[in-house]
Amino acid sequence: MKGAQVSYPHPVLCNGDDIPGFKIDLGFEYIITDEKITLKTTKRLSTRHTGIDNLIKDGAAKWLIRIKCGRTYMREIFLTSVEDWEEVLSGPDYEGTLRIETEVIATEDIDNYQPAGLHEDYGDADFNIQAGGILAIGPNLSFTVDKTYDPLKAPIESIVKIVQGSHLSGPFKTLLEDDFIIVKLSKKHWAEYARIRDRVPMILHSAIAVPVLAKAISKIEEHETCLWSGRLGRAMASRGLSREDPLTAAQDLLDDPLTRAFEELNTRLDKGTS
Amino acid sequence: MQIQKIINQRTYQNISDALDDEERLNVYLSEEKFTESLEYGLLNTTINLSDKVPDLVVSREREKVSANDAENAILIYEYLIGLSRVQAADSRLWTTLTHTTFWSYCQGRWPSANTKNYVLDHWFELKGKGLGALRRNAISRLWWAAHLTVAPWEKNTNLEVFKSSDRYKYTKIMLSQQQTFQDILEREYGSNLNMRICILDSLDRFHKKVSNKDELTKSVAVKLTLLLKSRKLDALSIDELLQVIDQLVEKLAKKLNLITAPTA
Repeated sequence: MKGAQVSYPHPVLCNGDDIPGFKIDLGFEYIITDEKITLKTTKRLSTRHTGIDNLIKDGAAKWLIRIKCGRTYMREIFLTSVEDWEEVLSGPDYEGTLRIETEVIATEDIDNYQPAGLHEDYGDADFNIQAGGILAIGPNLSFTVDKTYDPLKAPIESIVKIVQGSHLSGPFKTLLEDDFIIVKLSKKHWAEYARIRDRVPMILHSAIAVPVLAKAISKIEEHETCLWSGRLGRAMASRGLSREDPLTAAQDLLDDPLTRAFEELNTRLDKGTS
Repeated sequence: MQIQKIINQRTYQNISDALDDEERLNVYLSEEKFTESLEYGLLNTTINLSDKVPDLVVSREREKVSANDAENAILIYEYLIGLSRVQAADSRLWTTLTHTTFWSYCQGRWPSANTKNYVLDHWFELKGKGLGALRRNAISRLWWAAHLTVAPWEKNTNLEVFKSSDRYKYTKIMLSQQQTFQDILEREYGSNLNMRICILDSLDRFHKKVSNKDELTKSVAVKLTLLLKSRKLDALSIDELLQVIDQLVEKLAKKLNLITAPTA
């Protein structure tokens, strides 16, 4: 078999081509307030595999919806057999990126499990599944709970902070292990930056923000416990930007900073100011 | 009641940046108080504090510095009673407390403060370090240890089988051994309440019967992580979950020849 992601001791729907031709499509919507987070499905919970859906109807299997928040160390699971699911989470328990993992699991031991459509490599094999065994893997989704995020601010201000570093000279340093992306300029550069940042912001965006954002985009998943990660992800999603080309995405996020830098520079040269 | 104030982000940056300077780093090792004033730019919070600041205890003998962790965790948890998880995820709070109220305790509990990384680990809280950062800051580790284990039967009625007159029974179990604390806090399964309490309960019973607690705890963490890849134990009932974990722990204790007392 080709393309299996995880090696399970039994066939799992949507794990590689254990059972070819299936794709589980789920969707969730959420309403966030300080007190509570309401989550509900926007597409019915179904594997589209008749045998597994029947196991859920019969009570031998259930959907497992796991909510994880790395920042607050919260992890809750919900077992359900309904097709339209809704749950209310406690607001003070969650902040930052919430991951939703979906699976179908056996809720009791299932002997001689042999789902229809098995990959031919399995032949006539059947399997004894223990309670808790995974039968199907649904999509993993994520969304951001950010109670301090100000959507009226320019995205860059909610994501990056430029500060004076402790090094005297040399290249700037980028720290991603905080709620903001921290850019530390050398003392020498900071003095220059402080003098001209309000006069030629676009030129500075091109020189500093573009490479920093490109780096951050490539590391967004590694830092999902930091608030900047969720904010950046949301800003990218709102513009339909892909993470596959971080440098292009960074330029899109900053509204084509190079063009604007040229315009800024030309205006200053035309005016004869420096 | 008093209100806890916290340092702002700029102060946080300034004092962490200052660790590049050896003289400033030495403050953590030798000064009775943090030498830089943190008054400027302090932010108000909605965090209420008990009137009495707890007197955290730490042994002067290096090999016993962790002996009072559970006792101190309970004191910190009750001092910051009502703190939410979101508030507890704010590194500025813990950095303020390590540099002010609990400065002396931090120096006693973490006495090797002569490198920048050591101070960053225990006096600050680095977000991107994942779950591990929670157990490193000298004060946040105590709060989280208590928060994750206090009276679990009050959070989930299915856990009433574990009910005890001691609301901090599982805090004491978790902090009785640093290896257990590390594995529970840093492994993903430890963030699930049912899993956490069943593992602690099982380890507590078996630790009384084995010759090397650390070795058993480490092996259980590795095997459990593997098992969870194909079997979602957190979906089992408490009875089933405890049975699976007990079997795993007993099997490993026998395999490693660690058992010194009868197991049944």
